[in-house]
Amino acid sequence: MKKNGISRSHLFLIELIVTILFFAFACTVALMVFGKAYELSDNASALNGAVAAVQNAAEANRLESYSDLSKPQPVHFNKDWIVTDLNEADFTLSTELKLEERPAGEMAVWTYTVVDQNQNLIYQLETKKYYPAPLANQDEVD
Amino acid sequence: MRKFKLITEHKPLDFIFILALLCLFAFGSLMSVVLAANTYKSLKESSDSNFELRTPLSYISMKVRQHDEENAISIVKKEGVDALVLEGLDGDELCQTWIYEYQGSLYEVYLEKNTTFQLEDGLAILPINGLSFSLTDNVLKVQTADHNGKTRSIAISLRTGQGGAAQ
Repeated sequence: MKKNGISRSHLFLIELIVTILFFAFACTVALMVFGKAYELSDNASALNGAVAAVQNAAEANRLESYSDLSKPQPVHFNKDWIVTDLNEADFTLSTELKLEERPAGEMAVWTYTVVDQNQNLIYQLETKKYYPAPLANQDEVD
Repeated sequence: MRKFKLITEHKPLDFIFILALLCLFAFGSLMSVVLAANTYKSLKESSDSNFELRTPLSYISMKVRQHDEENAISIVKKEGVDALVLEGLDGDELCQTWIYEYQGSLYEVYLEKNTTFQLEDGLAILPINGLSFSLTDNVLKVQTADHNGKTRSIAISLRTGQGGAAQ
């Protein structure tokens, strides 16, 4: 015989399904937020390391005399920002050096770029140092 | 009008299914809480590490830049601890700022030159887990560590000569 009615268990089941649907939606949002938080935290950590690495490189380059200027080599770092080789690199610091002519000397322009394994840009900085003519032409004078 | 009647009797299979669903819900809730706790823990860890590595370096770097005068920066060992000593004139008095690690904190003391003091007389600025200095070829290297032993260092090339002529 067919019964025209809703049992208690059916009511509870409907309530539970609605709750679970809501819970699933909330869980999805929460997971997305957690994922984003992880990503932001990693980015902040990488940015901190990158800034320190670039500062070290820039300070070293600042001390270079004109005759010491040479094509900079990329430096590789692991996840703890310790210098390592290319195979174990998580981050790479590339430095580009350009010499620009000025009326009374040359301007050395260094562009520091830090990228991660996937070549995503983490930090970029441009620094300049002016070499007046006597210093810039020292090699020729000598 | 068609009326619905609340039926109190139910099949055991229904009951088991609902119970299983309820268990699934409870388990999911528990997992969410555990995941949230782990995420928070991990983020806090990362944030603490960044703070411990970056803050002392920034602070010392700023202090060094402020005191970057000829022969004003040196590293002195006191009571077995390396301290960064920054000299500067305060009015007519020659004063020194000593920065060092003592009992797990970054300490600083500001006093007139040649004043006798002990490391514990300084002011604790922030907790640190390791601090070392080296000064070679006019480049000051400062290294700090976080609570996991992870280290980070910065090099500061000084604008003026230390222990020699100004550059």
